[in-house]
Amino acid sequence: MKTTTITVIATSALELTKVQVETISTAVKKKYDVSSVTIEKVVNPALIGGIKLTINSVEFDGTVQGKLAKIRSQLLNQL
Amino acid sequence: MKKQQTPPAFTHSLANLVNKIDTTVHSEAVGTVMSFGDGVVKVKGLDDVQSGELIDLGKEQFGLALNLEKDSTGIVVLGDAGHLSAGTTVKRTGRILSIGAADSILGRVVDALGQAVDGKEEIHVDKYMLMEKKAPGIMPRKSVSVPMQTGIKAIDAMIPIGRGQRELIIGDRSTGKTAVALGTILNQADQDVICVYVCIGQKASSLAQTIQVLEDRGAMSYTTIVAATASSTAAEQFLAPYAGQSIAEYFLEKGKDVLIIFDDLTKHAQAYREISLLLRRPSGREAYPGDVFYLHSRLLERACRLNDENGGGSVTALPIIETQANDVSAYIPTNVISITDGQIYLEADLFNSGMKPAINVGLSVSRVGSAAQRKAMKQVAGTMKLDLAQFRELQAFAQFSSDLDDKTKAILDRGEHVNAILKQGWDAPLKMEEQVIVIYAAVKGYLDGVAIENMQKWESEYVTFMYSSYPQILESIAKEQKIIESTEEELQSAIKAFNDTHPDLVPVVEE
Repeated sequence: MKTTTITVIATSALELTKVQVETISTAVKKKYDVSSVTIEKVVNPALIGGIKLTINSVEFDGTVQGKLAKIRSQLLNQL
Repeated sequence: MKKQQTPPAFTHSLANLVNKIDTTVHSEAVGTVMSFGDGVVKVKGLDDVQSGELIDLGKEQFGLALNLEKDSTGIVVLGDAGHLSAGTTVKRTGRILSIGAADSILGRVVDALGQAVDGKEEIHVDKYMLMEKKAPGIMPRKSVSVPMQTGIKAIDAMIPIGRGQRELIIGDRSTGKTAVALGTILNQADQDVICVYVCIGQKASSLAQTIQVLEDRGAMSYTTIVAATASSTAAEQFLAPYAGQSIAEYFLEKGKDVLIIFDDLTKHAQAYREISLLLRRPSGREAYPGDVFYLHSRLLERACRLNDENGGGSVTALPIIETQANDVSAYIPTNVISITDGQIYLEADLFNSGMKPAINVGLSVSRVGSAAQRKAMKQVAGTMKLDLAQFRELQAFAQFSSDLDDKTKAILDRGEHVNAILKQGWDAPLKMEEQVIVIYAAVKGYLDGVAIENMQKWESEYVTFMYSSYPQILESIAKEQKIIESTEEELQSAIKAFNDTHPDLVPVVEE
């Protein structure tokens, strides 16, 4: 394991609990093969629910807002 | 309860649609907007972005990544991106710019991104064509062998264009450049040629007029218009010719012959200059960026004639360039002149003196088209070029002295008549065989007695007369593609017969 740090911006609709932060941290450590993870918490109620992680310039959007946008664009494509 | 109220078919199809939706979370490359202004967005992040890639700016708006730098990316906005501000995230799409084409795109007006702008139904895309594509190489090509009939006597006779050629139309403002191009589109009605008209930076009112003309004359059924008017962004004007070319290539792949008109490339170069300056690329001559030659050469190289193994289709390009005060040695005109296979040079002086189309025959050339010219046209046009050349040479002298020997007078007279027969309304294209019989009459001296102001009348009555009384001559020329001996004799007697019965047009010479 490399001794590197990575910063994750975690945006959620509600304040993240300690357990959730821990889970994110472990998952990111595993995926990016790093020793420590710094998590910056941002709360944005406009997301409705779910969580969005931004790591460097890669984004994982698992928010309700993002899902609704996906549904919208895919429905429009099918029409 | 509620389920029973809605028709089951509707819920069923809705459920079907929703079930197909994929909402799994994927990693997406994003960037953060650092600055946005003048249609150019600077973005931090966006790892691994490709040059020419579409960028999702949110709110259904897209941008095009043009400048890739060490820690930022320069993006030009396609459309309107008023919602952007510093800190907004934008996403990669992984799509290189392409345009949706289909057979149903004929008769439609689309913008540079392929969206219909004529208010009719949506175009169902059959195939996405890459906008930036490498031109066909050497092996799939074939030399020009079939003529692209413009229906304009002066061009078809002396500056012939072949299918797959690139012929520049150059001239000052309002010298009839667009008219030559539109006349050519009108003439393709029965030639099995598909036309693409690309409007770059033109006034929306002129474009509306053009569309109206094409619709009235039934030419829209085989024509697509790509519109980037003066109110479109510079990025759209920059993309429009490539979009048009991609549509042309869609039909090329089906083995069709396509005619594409870029109206005009001067404005295209100016749009590209605007983008380049805003992206802070180094500027060169006339403030154009260094790759402005490549901008046009890579576009016009895509005009081609393919051999039979590759479908045998062709793309003929007629780019238009507007000069300032007849200056063909400006940067963009010289560039495009050197890229194309010849040019049709239109002059304001000729236009003002009533010579329409105002083609300067002496300065116009076609480098490859003569290989495709029909034999019949060659038979009559050879003498015509000579007549006109002699005429031009003597014209200058004639102004100085009033006493001229008979021979000089005859040459001047012939030249004047041949010149007059080249006048033609832009929206009145003539078929090849019609042109041949008219030019034949002029160069053989049958028109020498006709007053110059009666020439147009003579011509129209003559063509009608030939169709009603001697249709076999026209059929023979159309079929054989040349004037065979028996037809020539028949043609001579036909012209004589017409002249004898029209003393109002051709005064009887007293012996």
